[in-house]
Amino acid sequence: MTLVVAAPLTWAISTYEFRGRRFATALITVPFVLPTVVVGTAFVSLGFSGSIWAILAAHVFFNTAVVVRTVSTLWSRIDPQLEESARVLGATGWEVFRRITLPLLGPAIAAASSIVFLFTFTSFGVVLILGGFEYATLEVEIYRQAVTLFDLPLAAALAVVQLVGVTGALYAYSRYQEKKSVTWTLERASNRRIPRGPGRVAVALSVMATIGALSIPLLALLTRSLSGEFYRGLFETDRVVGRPISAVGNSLLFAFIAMGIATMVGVMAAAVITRRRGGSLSRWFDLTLMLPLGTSAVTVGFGFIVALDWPVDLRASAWLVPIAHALVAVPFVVRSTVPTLRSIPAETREAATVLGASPSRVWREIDLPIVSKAALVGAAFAFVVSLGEFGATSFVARPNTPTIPTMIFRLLGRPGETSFGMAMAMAVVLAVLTAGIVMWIDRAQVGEIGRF
Amino acid sequence: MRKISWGWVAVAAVPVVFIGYFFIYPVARILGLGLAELNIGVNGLEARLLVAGNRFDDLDPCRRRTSHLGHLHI
Repeated sequence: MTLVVAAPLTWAISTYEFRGRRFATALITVPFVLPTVVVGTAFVSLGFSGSIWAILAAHVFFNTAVVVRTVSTLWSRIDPQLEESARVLGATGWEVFRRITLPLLGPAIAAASSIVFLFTFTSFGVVLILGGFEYATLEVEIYRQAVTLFDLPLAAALAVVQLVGVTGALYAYSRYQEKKSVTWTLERASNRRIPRGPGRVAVALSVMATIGALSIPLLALLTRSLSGEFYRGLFETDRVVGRPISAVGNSLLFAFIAMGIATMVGVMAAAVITRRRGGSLSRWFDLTLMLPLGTSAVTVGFGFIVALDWPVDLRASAWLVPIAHALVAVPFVVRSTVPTLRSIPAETREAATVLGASPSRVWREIDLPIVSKAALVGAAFAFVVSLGEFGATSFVARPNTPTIPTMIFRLLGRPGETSFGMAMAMAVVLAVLTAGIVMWIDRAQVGEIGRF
Repeated sequence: MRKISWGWVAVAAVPVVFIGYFFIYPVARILGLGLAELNIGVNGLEARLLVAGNRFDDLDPCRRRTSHLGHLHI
């Protein structure tokens, strides 16, 4: 479904240069960076919930950017001579697409499909909000068994099935890439052309239809949040949920702590990984650090409940929330700092050593100033991840210290128009916070620094 | 022989302990608990086949007789 929905915009962005192309690309990325709770709430505000179609539509909304960005990067750099040669030999436009373009795009389509599959397979917040326990997926069922029914062995069995599923999907994708990988020359610059005649109308329709469809849930969320005194209600104390705005303070505090932990651990790990180039130990270390990214947040949260009673029982500690967030965020910090550390020439460090600097001074005066900007970008990513994290938080958050996503979930679970509107208002606050930080990250990234 | 840099060992220990204790260990505990519940070892599988066989025989009137005779039916 995501491939079909994303196809027209991918085609328009990949093959044509038009005014607003960059803006359109940025706009479709917005749903992807939004926390899952916000996406779920946006679809609830549309009146879509309690059906499998609502869940599917929300995942298509969430993942369209993955397909557009992954496939268009490759599509725009295909050598135009290949298509022109086919046309000279008498192929029609459709035949050129089917026999030349589509097979060349195969690896990018497979990559995008597997990412969408993994994101949807491990999705939790959207499914829980839109489908509840009636349309429980593996993730939701793990949550139900562990948190509602306290059947930890069954939840663990489901988590094993989930881990096997994720590993199998990743293995199948890597096998496909091994089998289908061919080497061909990409054009250095993109080969987009100016749309003319009917192509212009087709491009305009593709862009407007996709962006229009993706904007509807967010506009509905904003409209519903403004349709009453819901923002004021966030500051009032309720006997059951407390003062909703306090969740913003909790989330910001947890995000700062998680950012600190993730940055410290991530930069240290990156320093270790880049110390010995090409060593098998550092490759394994790098791979191990990436594992939390491929594991669902629900498994991470459930693992905390199951395991962290030894050597001291940490399960009731408020620290578990920022630690869980940091665990999910460490791969982002590692990925943003490793390329920068690798780009530092060995001669620079060696020169400092020859001049008498100790290893710690070399690190402090050579590596640290260079890596600090990339680390800052990684830290900002960690902050955003922490703000929107819901899967692991729903297991480890204490009732008296809710985060923004858990407060939205609580408000949605209560009857009444006021609670519903306050959930919408809270989701808008979270969306604005997230979008602001992501925009800052986008501006802070210079060249290849901080890019994944 | 390469000299061990204890500073680097300390730097490496922080991410290793963090990932080891907060990720690898919980996942290992989940695997242990989950695999025990799934009961997919040889003995567990045999037991499940026996249970399934008994259930199947209960549904089949012809084989139910053999079942009542006490034959092992798997």
